[in-house]
Amino acid sequence: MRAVTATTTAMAMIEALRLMAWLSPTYPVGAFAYSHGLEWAVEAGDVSDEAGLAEWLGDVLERGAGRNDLILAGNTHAASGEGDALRAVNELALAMAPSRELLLETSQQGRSFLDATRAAWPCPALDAVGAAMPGAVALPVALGAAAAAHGMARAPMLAAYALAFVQNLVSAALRVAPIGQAAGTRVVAGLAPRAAALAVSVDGLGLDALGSATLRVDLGSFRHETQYSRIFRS
Amino acid sequence: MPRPPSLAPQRQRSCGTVALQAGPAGDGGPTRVRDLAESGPSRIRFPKVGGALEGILVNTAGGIACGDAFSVAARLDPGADLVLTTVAAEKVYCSDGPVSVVHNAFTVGGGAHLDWLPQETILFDRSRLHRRLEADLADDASLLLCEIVAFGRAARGETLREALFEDVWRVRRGGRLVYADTVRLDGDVAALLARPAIGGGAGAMGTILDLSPGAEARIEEARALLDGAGGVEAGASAWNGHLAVRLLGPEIGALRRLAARFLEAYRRAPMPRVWQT
Repeated sequence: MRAVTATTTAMAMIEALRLMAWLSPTYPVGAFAYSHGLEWAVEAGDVSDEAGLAEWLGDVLERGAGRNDLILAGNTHAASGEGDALRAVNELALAMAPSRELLLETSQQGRSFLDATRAAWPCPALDAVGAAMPGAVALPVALGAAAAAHGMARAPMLAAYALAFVQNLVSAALRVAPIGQAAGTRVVAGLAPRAAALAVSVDGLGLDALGSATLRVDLGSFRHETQYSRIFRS
Repeated sequence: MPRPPSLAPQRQRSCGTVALQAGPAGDGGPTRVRDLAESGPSRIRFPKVGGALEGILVNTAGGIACGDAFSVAARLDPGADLVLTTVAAEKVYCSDGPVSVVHNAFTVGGGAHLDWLPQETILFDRSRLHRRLEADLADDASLLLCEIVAFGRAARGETLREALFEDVWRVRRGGRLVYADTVRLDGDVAALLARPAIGGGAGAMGTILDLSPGAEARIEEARALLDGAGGVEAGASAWNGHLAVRLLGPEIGALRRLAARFLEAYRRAPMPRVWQT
């Protein structure tokens, strides 16, 4: 009995660590190159301090791409093993990218994620995912499909994705806004419970629940294309 | 004891539809209406204007009230050329609960060209609208879409303290989904729009989408046309073969003028006459 429990615990830890590895900033998807329009928001004066970052990022998380990505990842996970359903979610995810740069952001990272994960954590189910989507793949679709292929639970995957989304944009903020390390970490701490709550609230929602309110992030992403001085690709 | 029947008047819900098919007369001749069905308060008129066939949609109910359903379905045969607009701004009145539904569906055949240029939609406080725009394009079909929304009646200084606005766009080309967007503003819309990531204080928004072959290559031209946008925030982007322009502004007047100015130059054609009043 004790041996069984120990095995179960070890399995759970392996799954948790795999998720941490996949969503770590060192995972080779190039997340550091994208700011999801934050670089423009800083240029436009919308984000200039800790409070501004928390407000902007909270909206992108809960009313913008963060929420949509979780719904897409969750639906991909639920479509596990069904090639047609998987392709349909991916087609929708790519079509929903609201600008040239935000399409690049999700599709370049999605392709890199799928390729890197297939190479390092190969399994037949993940090979089938790769065969079903030989071209562009949206990042939440790549993650949801890979997690399902490895039999990983959906809820922790969604929560971890939400937090990684927040952390990546806070990291971008530290590079372009006058916001210090300690302030950035406080923003992550403040948004972590909201990321968890969001993951719980969207788990199980269908694709009809997709929708965003972040009009000015979309418009800002357009404006970022011609921003004079920029270090990010989005 | 049985309750007496309610004395409150039961308002009749409006259900208006226009379904039309247009195609070129003969081989490559001017576009004609081939089939037309109108029902409820929805009508369409075709004034003689020369050039492309222009259809003007009329809502004889004078607006959209709670629970109303309106739809426009336009099918363009290969080679057809059609401009659709509305006779006036569309008002969406306050609702006591039910969501009004607007569904516009376009099927554009090979080499055909549809311009969807309705005048602005004005959302009243406590309005509840679900709008869906779906387009199915042949591989070399052209579609230009423009939608402008005013969040409240500007002349009254109205803001949306409680409203629902859901706007779903889905465009397929050759059966493949190429553009999808869902905007959802729910609750205290004025407070949402005040937030920097959402509206930055916007009172009106506009979206122009060009899904014509070659649209992506017109990005520099589009950006140049948006220069000097005044108090309206404007931007353009082009990807996946299409071009999009987004506008956000504090009030509808300047935003509508900018959209019309942009469209006149971009389409190299005047706006429909109903726009020019």
